[in-house]
Order: sequence, then C-alpha cells, then structure tokens
Amino acid sequence: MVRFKSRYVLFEIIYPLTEEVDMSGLSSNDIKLLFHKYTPTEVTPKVIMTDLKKIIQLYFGDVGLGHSTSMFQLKYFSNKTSTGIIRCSREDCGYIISGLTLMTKLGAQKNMIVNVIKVSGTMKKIEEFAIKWSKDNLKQIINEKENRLFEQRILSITRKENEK
Amino acid sequence: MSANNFNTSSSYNSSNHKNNPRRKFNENQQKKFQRVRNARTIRTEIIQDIRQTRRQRNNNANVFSEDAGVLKLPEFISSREFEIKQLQNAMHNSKKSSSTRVFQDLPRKLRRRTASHNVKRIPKRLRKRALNEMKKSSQSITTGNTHLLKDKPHYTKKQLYKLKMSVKLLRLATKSKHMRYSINYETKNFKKYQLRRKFRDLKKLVNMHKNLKDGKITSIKNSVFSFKNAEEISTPHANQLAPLPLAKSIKYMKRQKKYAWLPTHVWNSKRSHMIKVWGKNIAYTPTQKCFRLTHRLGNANSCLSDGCLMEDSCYRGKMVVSSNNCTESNLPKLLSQIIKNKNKIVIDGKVLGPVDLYWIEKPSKLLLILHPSIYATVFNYIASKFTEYLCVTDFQYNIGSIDLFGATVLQTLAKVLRREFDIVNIEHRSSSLNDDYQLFMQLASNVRDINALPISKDFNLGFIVKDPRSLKRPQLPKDFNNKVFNFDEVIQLLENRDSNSDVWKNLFTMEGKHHTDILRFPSKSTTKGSESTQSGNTDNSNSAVSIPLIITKTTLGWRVLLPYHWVLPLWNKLNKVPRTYHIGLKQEQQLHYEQNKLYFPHDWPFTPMGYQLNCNEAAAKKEVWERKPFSKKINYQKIDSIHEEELPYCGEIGDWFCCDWKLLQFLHNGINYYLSSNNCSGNNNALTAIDIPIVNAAKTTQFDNQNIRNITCIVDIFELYKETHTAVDVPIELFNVKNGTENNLNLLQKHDIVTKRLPIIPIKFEAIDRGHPLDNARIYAISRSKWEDYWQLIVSKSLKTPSGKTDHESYKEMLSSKYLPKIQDLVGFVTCGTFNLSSGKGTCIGMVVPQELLKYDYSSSHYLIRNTGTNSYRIFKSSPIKI
Repeated sequence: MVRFKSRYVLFEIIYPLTEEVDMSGLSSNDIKLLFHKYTPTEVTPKVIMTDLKKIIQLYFGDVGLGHSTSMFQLKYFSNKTSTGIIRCSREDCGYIISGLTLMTKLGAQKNMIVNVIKVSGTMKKIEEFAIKWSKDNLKQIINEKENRLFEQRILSITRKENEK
Repeated sequence: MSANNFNTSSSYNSSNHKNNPRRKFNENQQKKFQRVRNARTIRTEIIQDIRQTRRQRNNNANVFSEDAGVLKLPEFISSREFEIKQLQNAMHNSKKSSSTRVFQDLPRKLRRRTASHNVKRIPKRLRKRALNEMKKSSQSITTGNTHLLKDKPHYTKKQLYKLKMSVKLLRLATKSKHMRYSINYETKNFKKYQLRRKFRDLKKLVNMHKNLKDGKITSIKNSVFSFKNAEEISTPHANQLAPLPLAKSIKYMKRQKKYAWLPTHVWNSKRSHMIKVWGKNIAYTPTQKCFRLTHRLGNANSCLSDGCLMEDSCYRGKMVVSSNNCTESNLPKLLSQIIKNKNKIVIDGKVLGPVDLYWIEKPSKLLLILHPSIYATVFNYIASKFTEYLCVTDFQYNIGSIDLFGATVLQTLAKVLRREFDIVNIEHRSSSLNDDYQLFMQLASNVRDINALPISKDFNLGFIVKDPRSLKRPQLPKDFNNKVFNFDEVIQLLENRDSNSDVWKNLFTMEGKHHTDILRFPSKSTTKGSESTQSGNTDNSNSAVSIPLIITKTTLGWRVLLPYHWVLPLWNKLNKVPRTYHIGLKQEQQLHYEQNKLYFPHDWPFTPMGYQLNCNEAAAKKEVWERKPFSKKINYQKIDSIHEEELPYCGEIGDWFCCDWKLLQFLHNGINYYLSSNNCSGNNNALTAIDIPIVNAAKTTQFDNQNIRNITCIVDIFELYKETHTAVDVPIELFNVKNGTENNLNLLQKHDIVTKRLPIIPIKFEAIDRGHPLDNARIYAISRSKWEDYWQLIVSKSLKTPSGKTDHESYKEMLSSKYLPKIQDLVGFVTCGTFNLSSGKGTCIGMVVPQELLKYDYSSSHYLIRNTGTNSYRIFKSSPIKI
C-alpha cells in the first residue's frame, strides 16, 4: 500500500544577545536563560507559516515553495517555551529545514535564530523526544537537590499517564 | 494552573483538515473526526497572563527582563513542566481517541478472539460500555452459547447409560468431597469396585453425614482433597521418598499417576504450555510472547523496572537432612563428602548438579533444595550411605515454594502478606518474630535491587502470616512508606543475625497441621468472612489460620517457602497485583543466560542429566529437521569450506544438532595419544597438535592386534569416532586441579581415547564486533601466530576506517584461509547463546578445554565461534564463569 509519508521537525527559537554582556559574573544557568526568551504573542502560528513560506520562496523560488507546502502544517507552537513542531512531506523536508535555519525574523521580531532539534517520522516519537529534551534541559538548570524533587514530580506524572 | 491559562491550537489546524466537499460524512463519522482532531491538538500556555501577573506582583521589575521577555528560573521551569505534561497528554489522548470499541484499548493479555460481538470475551468492568457500543452500531450480539444450539450427538443406549452413570457418580463424589469425606476404601483402587457398590457406598456416606448437625467436620482423614491418607502425608517418611500426591479430584486422577501436578497446575495450564518432565508437570513457557518482558522485568540490571516475574518452583525437591545425634552433630562433616563448594553435589567424583542449602537448625538440621532430575538419586544416596548418622526426610510435597524475580518483588509480597497478630502471643511479639516482619517491610519499602543486599547465603526472613485469601484486594499497608530507613543499619543487622528458628521449626514440622488448615477453611467460607466485615483488609474470620513463611535469596531472585497447600492461595493473590507476570522454565533459563549464570541442566553438560538432555534435544531437533522438505532445510552435509582443505569430507563436523562432546573427547584424547606415543620415542623437537598430519596419503589404514585402528593422522581419529561413538557415558567432566595434572602427566593408552573423560571449564563469551552465536556453535582457539598476524588487528580495531566504521571488504581480502582455525583448534561448544538484550551484543555460554591441557600455544583470552551449518567465524572475548 502506498501512503504519503511525512516528517515532523522539532525546532526552537533562540534569541542571541545584541549587546555585549559581561558574562564573568554569571552562572551557566543565567547564560542559558539569557538565550531563551518568551516569543512575543504577536508571533502567532500564522506569522510563522507565512514568514517561513516567504523565506522558502526567496531562496528556493516557486518550485521550492510548491514542493515544500504540499503537506506543510504547524502542529504545535508554544510562545512560552519557544518550541514548535512542523509537519512536512518526507521528500521535501530539506526545504523546510533549510528554510527554518535561514530565518532571521519573525513578524516584527528580529534578531532570532531557529534551531532545528530533531526530525522524526511519527508524531509520537517527536513528542517523546520533545519530552526527553525538555527534561534534559531542566536537569541541567536545576541543581541536584531540586532535581531529585523534580524527578519525582515528573516521574509521578509519567506513571499516572501510564496507569490511565 | 487556572483553566484560562491555555488555549488550543485547533483553530489554525482546522484549516488544513478541510474535508473534501464532494464526500459526505454521516454524523457518527463527523463526530469521530472531531474527536480525533481535538485529541491531537496540544495545549499551549498563554504568555500574556503571566506577564500581567508579574507586572502586578512587582512593579519595580527590571525593565530589561520585562520587555524583552527574558525568563526567570521558576517560570522557565514551570513552563517546561507544563509543556511536558501537555505533550504527554497529547500522546495519550491521540492513542485513546482513535479507538471506537472499548476492547481496542485493552492490554494484549486481556484481548480475546471474537470480542467484537461476544461480550463475554470482554472484562466484566467494560461489558456495559461494549454493549452500548454494539447497540449504537446495531451489531448482532452473541454470548458464546452457540454450541448449545447445535444438534446433539447421538449416543447408543450403552453409551447413554454409561454417561448417565458417570454423571451420577460424579455428583455423589462431589457431594461427599464438599462434606470433606470420601469413600472409606483407598481411592486409588476405586475404579476396581463395581458400579453399584460405588453408588451404595457413596450414598451411605453422604446420608450418614447429612444427619450430623450443621455438617460439623469430625474427621478429615480420608478426604479426597487431601491425600490418600491425611496422616500419612502430614508425617513425612524418614529415609523414604514420598509417594506421588493423589489427585484432588477423582475426574483427573489418571492424569496425575506418573507426573504430579503442582499446586498451581490448573491455573498454569490455562496460561502456559506445560511440559511433563522429571515426574512433574511443569509450566514450560507462557502462551503469551514474553522474551522482552522477561528481559525488562527480571534482569538484574533493570532495578528500575516496575514489575516482577514469578514461577511456581514447587517442582524443586526439598529434603531435610538432620543429625541423629543432636548433641554432637557431624552433619556438616558428613555432607561435605557429597556437597562441594557449598553449591554442587558431587557423588563418587562425578558432579551431579547444583544444590541450595539452608540451615534450619545449626548445626544439626539442613534443608537441601535440588533440581527434580537429580533429587531421587541424591535422596537415595544419602538415605543409604549415612543411615547410621543422618536422617533424611522428603518434604517435596509438604513444602512448596514460589520463585520471584524483578525489582518490585518485595513490594508485591508486602501487598499480599499480613502478619497474624492473634495467634502470636505477647512473648513472641517482642522477640524475633516481630523483627523479621518489620525488617521485611523496611526492605520492601526501600530495596528494589537484589544485589544491594549482602551476598551471604544465609539471608532469610521468616515470619508467620495469615491466610492470604482474607485480603480483599492486595495493597500496601497504611504505614508502609512512613518508616525511616537507614540502609547501613539494616545491612549490618542482616549480616549479624541468626535466622528465625521458630518459623523454620514451625514450617518443617513433622506434623501435618499446615496441610489440614486449608481443609478446615476452604476458600468460600474465608471470602465470606472477609466480605462480611466492612474493613475487609484488616479483619477476617479465620484468625486461627497461621502460615509460617520464609523469604530467601536465590542466585537471581527471591524464593518464598511455605506449606505446599498454601502455595495456591498465595499465588492467586500475587497474580492480582498489577504488573506481575508468570514465567516458566524457558524464561528461567533466559534470566540465567542474560546474567551469565549456568542454568541446570542445559549448561551443565558434564553432569549425567545435562548430557542426557543434550542428546535428547538433538534427537528431537533431528526429527523436526527430517520432516522438513528438502528445499526448506539446511543440508549440513554439503556445506563447503568448513575444514574443506584439510579433511577429505565436506560438511559440518560431528553431530550438528547438539554439542558433540564425544567428538571433542575423541579429538583431544586422540591428539594427546598421538603426541605422547610419538614424542617419547627420543625425539628432541617435541611435536605439537598442529604438526599432526591431517591425512596420511602414503599409507592405508592400519589396525593393531585387537583390531583397533592405529592413530597416524587426524582423519584416523575421525574414523574411529564414526565407528565407535555411542552416547552411553558422559564423555566430559568438570576441570579441576586433580584431573588437570593427571591429564598432563599420564601417557594415554589407545583405549583411553574412548574411555578417558575430557576436562572442560565453563566460559562466557562476548562478541567483539559482529556475531550472533547460537546454541551448539563450535568454539575454536586461536593459535598465537594467527592471533598476532591478523586477529589482534581486528580486536584492536586498527582495521577500521577513520570514521570508525568497519571496512568489511578489506577484512575479507585480508582474511585468507591461513588465518582460519584448523580442525585441531576445535576446543568446545556453545551451550546457550543468542543476542543478549542486556549487553546489546551477541553473548554465549560455552564449555571449552582449558588452556593448560591444550598442546599448542594459543591466545588466552579470545576465541573464534562458528554456528553450525555456516562457515563464517566471529571473534569473541572470553572470561571464566565460577561454578
């Protein structure tokens, strides 16, 4: 049986520093936090879609745009954590990934980088990875004592989900 | 988090989900689409509200952080946490939403065929929903009684009469059984009596006891449910093997004549494939697939797993050896004659098998737990050899046991076991009894990894529990997690304590109290009692029932010892705990393999039992192989390039369905004989195994005076093997210092080639690169020169490309036949091997001839392994196994 295969792309938006900041007094946590910000509410999923399409048209022309938008869909985007999941067709996910990396602005928001984290074949696996990735991120930031409490909390969530 | 803190992303998704306008969907379909769509959306947190609250909370906040949206640590954490939760929810919901029928969500082990239209195939709690769903889709409903509508078979009058009579008879027998009585004569010979006499006697019996007031039980001696005589079984015989227990039910008596049913037989036979071996009917493997499950739950490394495995290990024989003279016990000294190294039985210099030892009373009473295949031999040996000093008692149908593996074993037990307060008097409560139960609960609440506990064999916890049936639902005691736990303290306590001798004595009593307990309180009355009391989990009506129970450690897991008849009630309750699974012999072997432990009898080929099993399995495999059509089976005889250049015949060497120990014995003894007879004739340059010619082209075969072949080359050895090999005696033995030196010093005579046993040692192998070893694979040693020229390069990975990948083409080019092993390098066989999930590569357990006895310079730590029927060799790293 032939079916259309898709790819899911997990990405995050990072905000590099515009001015020079003296990092000497900062801990690794602070530095990490410096690069992560809320995405302003003006950046809606619609804005992301149109901007990405514009970029693809600019760099790959009409053919590239036509190819890449065949199964193009934003599955998830959270302004708070600046992470999102895009669905695209398997053959043309290259356009999407390169389009994402070439983005320099989102609506009025300038000075940002899109970081493509993971490409996967199913929604489930990309969600699983997103969970793992967020957990790893958190583990780095939280110190050990808190980490243990946090682990318990997260574990308890996972367990409940399993029992349902 | 308040409800208005998130929105859904469905609004922008729906535009892409537009249905084809030409196709129309009915209401149900549309509803389903909607449901799926809703389930697939992932909630996101709204950012605005939090900003506002922050503004409200802190008006003087840092301008930079507010406007640019820089995160603060707690917010970062909370937002990530929210995201994780939502992603998890999304995964869960999208899985649920796609199913339209209730049984689609059920776990695999609860799924049944025809569940779509037969409600009885669905668990009770879901039947209402299932019926509703069926009504909705106007589906026909059956209840599985179709066979009643079929035409009844026609019987002849004779058949009809027989059937009627048997029904009548069974009815009477059941009645008498429920009254806890049976016919007065031995049930064993029941069949011989005439039908009318049977009726008469049974009726008489039933009528007699009907007249008794409220069916009071006066005697339980001759109950069918117990054994042919309750007294007889309750007092185990000294120095005599116990007879097979008689069946609980007359109907199934005949099936248990040769092979005893274990207490959980009926339960297991519904859920496992059974195997009749060693006088027992044992669960071989569950009908459900469970290779990965066993690995995940039972592996020692998986201490974070969330379940446990259990096996009814009543099939293991249990005997108690006690000293006749209590004051001056010579028990350890006497038993040391047959038990070596505290873990294996050695009789007349021959290893028989493993043994588990537990002290009941130091130093005069010892419990031996043995594999059923060697049980009778050992029992009879002790009974006959040490009659004057020792008394040995057969407890195999008096004491039962359950083996448990996995991380949550102790927790699972804690859910089921409750101490009986009423029967323990105050004196006891303050003494050791109390301690053991407390200790057990402490361990249960904190210990998940069995390896964390001390290795000492004496570790055991004994206490008295109440009837497990009285618990309505297995659950942890209320104060379970409140205990303060100091691990070091507990460990110290465990190491410096004596085992609870009261419980041990109570369990191994010569009186049959525990057997009759269960007769006095059959299940119905017990459950009734607990249901009548509202608190259920704490109270029961049968406070008099007390079960002595001991928890011990085995090499891989835990073992619970308790009276034979209490195994089933405990087993049933344990199976009510979520995430517990039953396993069989096959899984036990798998667990042993994964932890590189030898499993008896498969990995003990130097014992008579192990060798016999090897031969039997080969015969069975051969039969299967022969039944296959030509196109579907490997033609072992025609596989080329297995020692093709050396031997005059092609194909696999030896018997390809088993580990051909006989061949190994002939080969190595033959080489030894050849070398010893040629080297001693004043030759200065001592010959080695490699120097022996394969074929002597100049000469034809010569025979000596006794018409035995002269050994002049390797082919002669093979011809001798073909002529004389018959699987009678065990051709190998376990290597030790004694037989090692003997082998090196003594010059062999020609008949020694056939008779002298070859010493071998157990080794575990681990693939270095590729390799998937299978059972019966051939093991070759690597000679020093080949090792240095070629194989060392492979091990050191210097042949790899800079990117780290192996260049298999260049391997092949380099690998000419001169680096492959010769026939003389064959040193052993793999007894158990496959891809090991716990180490992520091919591993195997095998037996090889130790380096000390080989007549050539070999690499000590690496071997080549070749599966039967193939001609590719893989390199493996070896390390010894302690036995």
